[in-house]
Amino acid sequence: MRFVKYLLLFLSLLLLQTTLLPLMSIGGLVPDIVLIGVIILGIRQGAVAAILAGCLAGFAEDAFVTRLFGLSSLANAFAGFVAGYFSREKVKYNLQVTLGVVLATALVHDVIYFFIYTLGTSVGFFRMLLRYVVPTSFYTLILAFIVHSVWPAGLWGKR
Amino acid sequence: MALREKLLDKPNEFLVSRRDYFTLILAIVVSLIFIFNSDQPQIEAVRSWFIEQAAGLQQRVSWYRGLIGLREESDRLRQRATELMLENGTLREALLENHRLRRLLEFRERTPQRLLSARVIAKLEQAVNREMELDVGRRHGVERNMPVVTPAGLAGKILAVRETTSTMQVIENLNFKASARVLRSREFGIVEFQERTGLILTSVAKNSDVTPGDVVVTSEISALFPQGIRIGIVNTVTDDNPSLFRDITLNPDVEVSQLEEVFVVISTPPTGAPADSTN
Repeated sequence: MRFVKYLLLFLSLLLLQTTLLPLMSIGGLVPDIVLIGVIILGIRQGAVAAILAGCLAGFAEDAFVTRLFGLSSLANAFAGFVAGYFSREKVKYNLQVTLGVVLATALVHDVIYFFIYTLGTSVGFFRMLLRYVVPTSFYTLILAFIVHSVWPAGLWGKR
Repeated sequence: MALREKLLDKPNEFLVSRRDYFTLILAIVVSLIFIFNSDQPQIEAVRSWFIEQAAGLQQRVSWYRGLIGLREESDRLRQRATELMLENGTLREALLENHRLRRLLEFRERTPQRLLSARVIAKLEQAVNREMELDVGRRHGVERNMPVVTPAGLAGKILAVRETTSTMQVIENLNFKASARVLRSREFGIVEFQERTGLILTSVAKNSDVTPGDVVVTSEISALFPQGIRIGIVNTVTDDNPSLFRDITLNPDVEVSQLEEVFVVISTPPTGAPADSTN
């Protein structure tokens, strides 16, 4: 039952990511709502579930959005591992912790994602950090804050 | 049984306690397989980077191997150079020996006396008693007081004879004396050796005609030495002493310290001159 619930959650997030979220693009940067799903799963169910779900969702995401197949799955797997590290057994919930976990996870995800994505281009590492990683991570953080505002128990709620 | 279960359980515990890491590694591997199967420019760049690094590493390894090879080559060459140096030394010795022997042969052919070639096999280098051992003896016809010469001139005389070896008293010996004369002016004298002044020509009157550069040879009045063998060249002539004779120093023609091969004069052609008391 829980599996079906999360499967539906991820299918919904993938649908949103590929249809609605591109409309929210600012300067070519789109927040990653699938990543928020991975973080939710990591916090609630631990690293293993988050890594597997992130990886599979990443493959799906790559199939539709990213031209480099395997890139999102790799970044999501790392994100799932980081989110799982901050699962409920290890840190106590409050808003700051929640947003901190989201930001840390998003930064890890985006560094891996954009680092590989910009390989072989003229974009240097620091420019990549400032131009892509930090803005996208903060954009995802804002989206996570909106999700948390709409659904307070979502990120740190019951299993 | 319990031990077996423990052993069997331990790997499971290990896997379970680290399942996060194993899952992450699995996800990374699967993702990377897909990524590196792509022909996107990013991956081409990564491939190029890896190829460049591998090439650089290979270059360094090749360089290091070359360095090791060079070191081995250097050791081999050094060893070969040492061998060649020794061989070269031997050849040079042979060449010099060849030249010496050629000169000895020529000397022997143009000398009227019957000569017996001999090698110096030992040297006694004392200040007052310089002697050399020769590899010829009684068996070869050597007798006491026989002159010993080289192509350069008089070297000494036989002092003692044994069956197969003999002892030569060289001219630079305090006990050596030979009757001599100045080749140009025919002035007579006696060649001796003194520790302080070296080879000298004594018993030459102050009014005699001797100048530096004159050649001194054995005289015909010597009972031991054939006449006309070069002894040395007059170096200095001084009359500062209160005696009736001049002080004449000579530069010997034979470099005694470098003697290796000599000739023992076995027979001397008859001169008809009476023997003198000083050899």
